[in-house]
Amino acid sequence: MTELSVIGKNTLRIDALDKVTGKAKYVIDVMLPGMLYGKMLRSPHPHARIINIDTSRAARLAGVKAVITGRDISPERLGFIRDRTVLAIDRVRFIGEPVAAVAAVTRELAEEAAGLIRVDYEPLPAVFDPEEAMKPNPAAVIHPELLKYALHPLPFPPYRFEPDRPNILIHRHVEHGDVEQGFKESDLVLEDRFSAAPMQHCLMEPHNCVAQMGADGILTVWTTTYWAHWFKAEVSRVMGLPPSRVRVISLYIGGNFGGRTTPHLGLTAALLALKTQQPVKMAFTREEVFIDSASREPMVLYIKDGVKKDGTLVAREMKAIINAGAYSSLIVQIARSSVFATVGVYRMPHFKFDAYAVATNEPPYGPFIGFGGSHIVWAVENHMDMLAEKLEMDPLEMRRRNLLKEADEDVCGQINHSTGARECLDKMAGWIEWGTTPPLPSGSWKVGKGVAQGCRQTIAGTTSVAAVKVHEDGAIEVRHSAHEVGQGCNTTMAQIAAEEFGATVDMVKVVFTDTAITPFEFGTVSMRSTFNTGNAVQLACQDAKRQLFALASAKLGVPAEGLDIRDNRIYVKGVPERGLRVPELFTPLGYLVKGGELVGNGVFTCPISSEDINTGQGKRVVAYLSHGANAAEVAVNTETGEVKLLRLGGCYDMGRPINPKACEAMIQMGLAIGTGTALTEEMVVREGRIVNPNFMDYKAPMAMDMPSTDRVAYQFAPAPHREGPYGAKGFAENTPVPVAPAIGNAVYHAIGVRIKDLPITKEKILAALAAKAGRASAP
Amino acid sequence: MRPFEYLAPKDLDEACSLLSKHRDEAKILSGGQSLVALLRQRLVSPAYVIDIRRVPGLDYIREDKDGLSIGALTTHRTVETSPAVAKRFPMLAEAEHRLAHRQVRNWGTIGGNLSHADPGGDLAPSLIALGAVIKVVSAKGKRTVPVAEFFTDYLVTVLEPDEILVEVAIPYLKAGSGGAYHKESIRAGDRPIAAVAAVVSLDGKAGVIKSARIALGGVGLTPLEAKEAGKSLAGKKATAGVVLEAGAIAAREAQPTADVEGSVEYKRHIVGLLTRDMLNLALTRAQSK
Repeated sequence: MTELSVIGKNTLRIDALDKVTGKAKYVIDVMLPGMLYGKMLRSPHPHARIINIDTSRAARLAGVKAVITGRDISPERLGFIRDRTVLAIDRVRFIGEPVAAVAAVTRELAEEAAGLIRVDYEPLPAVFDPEEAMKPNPAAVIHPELLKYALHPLPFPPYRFEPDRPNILIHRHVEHGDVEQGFKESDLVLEDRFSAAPMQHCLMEPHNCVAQMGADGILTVWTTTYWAHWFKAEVSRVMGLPPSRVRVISLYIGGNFGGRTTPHLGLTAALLALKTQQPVKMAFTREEVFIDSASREPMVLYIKDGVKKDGTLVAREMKAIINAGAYSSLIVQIARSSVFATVGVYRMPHFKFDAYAVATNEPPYGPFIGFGGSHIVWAVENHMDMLAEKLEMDPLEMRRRNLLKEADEDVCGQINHSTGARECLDKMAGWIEWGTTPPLPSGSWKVGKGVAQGCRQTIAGTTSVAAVKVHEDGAIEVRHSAHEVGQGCNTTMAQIAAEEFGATVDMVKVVFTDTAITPFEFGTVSMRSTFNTGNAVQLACQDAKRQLFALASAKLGVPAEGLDIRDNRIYVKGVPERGLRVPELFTPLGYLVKGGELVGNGVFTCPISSEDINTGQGKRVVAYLSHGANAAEVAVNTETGEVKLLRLGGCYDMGRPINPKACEAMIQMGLAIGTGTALTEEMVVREGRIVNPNFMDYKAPMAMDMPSTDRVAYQFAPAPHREGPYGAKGFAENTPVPVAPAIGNAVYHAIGVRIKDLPITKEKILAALAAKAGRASAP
Repeated sequence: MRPFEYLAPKDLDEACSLLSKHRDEAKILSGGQSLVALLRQRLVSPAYVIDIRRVPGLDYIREDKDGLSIGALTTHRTVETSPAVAKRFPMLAEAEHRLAHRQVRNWGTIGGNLSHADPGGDLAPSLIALGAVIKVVSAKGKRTVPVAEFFTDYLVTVLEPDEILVEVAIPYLKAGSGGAYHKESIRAGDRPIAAVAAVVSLDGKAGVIKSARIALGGVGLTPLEAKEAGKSLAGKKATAGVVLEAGAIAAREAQPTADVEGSVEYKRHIVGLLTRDMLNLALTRAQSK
């Protein structure tokens, strides 16, 4: 590859100064004249029929401009399985489900008015445990109409329902070979059960929006979504407005991690704005974020592995039971995608996988960084260590023996490409000094090390579109609709454009995520922006350059293919002194005599193959895989159960790091989320009620809980992808994935007990130690 | 948060007269680190908030003849970093160091902390074990209350609606005495799973414990003194067995409830461990004095 001048170089974020000085604008900063404030009233019942809603007292309160309930809204539903109306119509299915909304002149008045709405409910039986809910005759059927709901018309395999088990929203099945035969051929068969708690995204910016019906008949919604065009289509469909009359703007967004799935919020504001003909602002409180933003689903996992004496995996059978909560959100995609976390990593001659997403009366769960893969890896990577111990093998050697290599076929029938798995593992083994004995334990502290492998796929078959305008001064304007959620995608896109034009990043201006201005984008999901939007930007740059070179070719009398560009100057390849400056192509008034404006367009659609609904087989069912490994060293206090994280490192495969510093920041993020997953984070839900919906009682790790910077590692093992821009692919969603099992394996190494239910709390450790010692309870 | 009227008295007399006028309808704001959280959770919804941050003469740490006096408006960070506190009561500096996070310690005051009576507050156990007293004033006069008698129920103290906490006075430890405090928490800076403060005085000659006070945090409706555990040590030689036994008694005296920090059994278990460890540390410190 030719020498690159911007790609792969540490680049200061183009929004850094605006962000640290507070100039950067977020949706919450949008203030419009005459703006009202909206507030939702939420259900106190996990499952109930709505008998009557009396809004008269709220409507009479001075300053209240509108009150809406399920009776006033369109019955159009949201979700991949269209199962949720914007406000509940006749039935509520979780504690916190919105049943009415108010718009008033102040936030305080809106809150007060919401409190004046009287709702009569008839409580219904509720079900919370997914293993109970998935039985043929559950205590409650959450969606009696499930089979009649419409499905989102995306190019994904059809959904498998289980008509005999009415709470199963999707059954995902993947099969390869014959696992029963495989277990017969194995020297050792081991099986176990693992589970993981529900978690919060801990977004810095709570979900919020402003909706305004313009005098031009265009409805504009500023909102904290991760897919503006998707949301625009939903608004258009639900509100019955032509798409051309809906505009969605997202500005900067304070965090994503999969947590921006709240279309009902923007739609509620839009309904209130339409009714009042005034702009309406709505913002979730932190408690509302906990209750109603579809955060990480709890999961139960059964795993059964068969291996040969030499550690070769022969067969793997897994069952994942996913608690979807009351509405499906993106859970069907999670059920589909989670399997790739093991499919993409190991060679498994016989493989069988069943995932069930089960509706319950808990709050809706949904996408969370890792997208179900973290859960799968939690079970798999614990189990790999357990198998290795039984076989008296080094657990790393056990992994190395089974890792898929470049050009290997995986159990879905895909040919592996861009596989940094082995290098990630080896680098982490080196960093943690695998095989050396940790310092001798002192007193009640015991020390141990652990390693885990992980993988996350990116969705295939999606499209990104970008435009690049070359201004009359030669400045390059990139227009794209990926969301700048803090990950630095605007800087990445600017780097790609700068590289293509032989320019510096400060010659590039980025215009982003306004559906009236910027082109179509599938969404900032599935760590897909660098690969998909990046490709679209690169293609748009190449289109713009073609146009530039055609214009310059006429002036220079040289064929266009003989031209190149650097530092705002088009020159003849091999004769750099012959050329012209880009501004010379424009008239003094700033237009082009031929063409008027110079805009390049780029469209990138990631290829996808068909997928067999019954076996999950297909030639290209994911865009690509990002691999990674984590290593942890812990000290465990056998008296208190405390786990001290002594060292934590991650190494990942991002194809090629476009901005290495930004990649390091992503790893930092993943290590922190993974640490919380492993040790402390859990939304405690009892009878459908979240008991810790605040950051005092919900225990996300903070700076003081993480190892100091000299005890962490952020490493890269880039395996270039042939379709990626400059070989790059996404990797950020994989960063937390292997962390929890690495820590879990380290805890086991330290004290000889394995905690199978996340998080690994102090109390669980003490109980496990007591059980091992044959005591009834803690010492 | 419900709307309230904000009042900012210029001095203590004005603060007292506002308080005697509005009584139950008013809450005092000093650092806001407890009050704002309570307001947000609507555990309190006062009609008046009396901000005393501009009241002069309440921000001090003074080494008096018999003890250390700390003004109510002194921030946690000031106490944490005070040379006088480090010299006289290292256990107090340690407690402050683990109290929430530096941002909170920069704002929060000791008066606000104690007046809000969070059962998991980091100051109370040490102050109880040290035998500290609280000085309060009102328009009617002033009085003094031992910290050990200050807390009466969950978020409730002996303060009358018109009274303001103005000072904490801690008597100096006698020679041959030492103290220690530690809290076990899920994250650094969290409220405790359990916290234990221990202060012991040794009889110089024989290594016999003259007296001991043990106080617990986060394991009851209020911070509380483990009186039986303290008494069990008096007159005994400081052996490992005696110390362990005190831990077992303290664990029984704790009155924890289950919450996100831990189960009842786990909290008692931690009380036992911490009592043992804090007694041992206090004994080491006592011997070196």
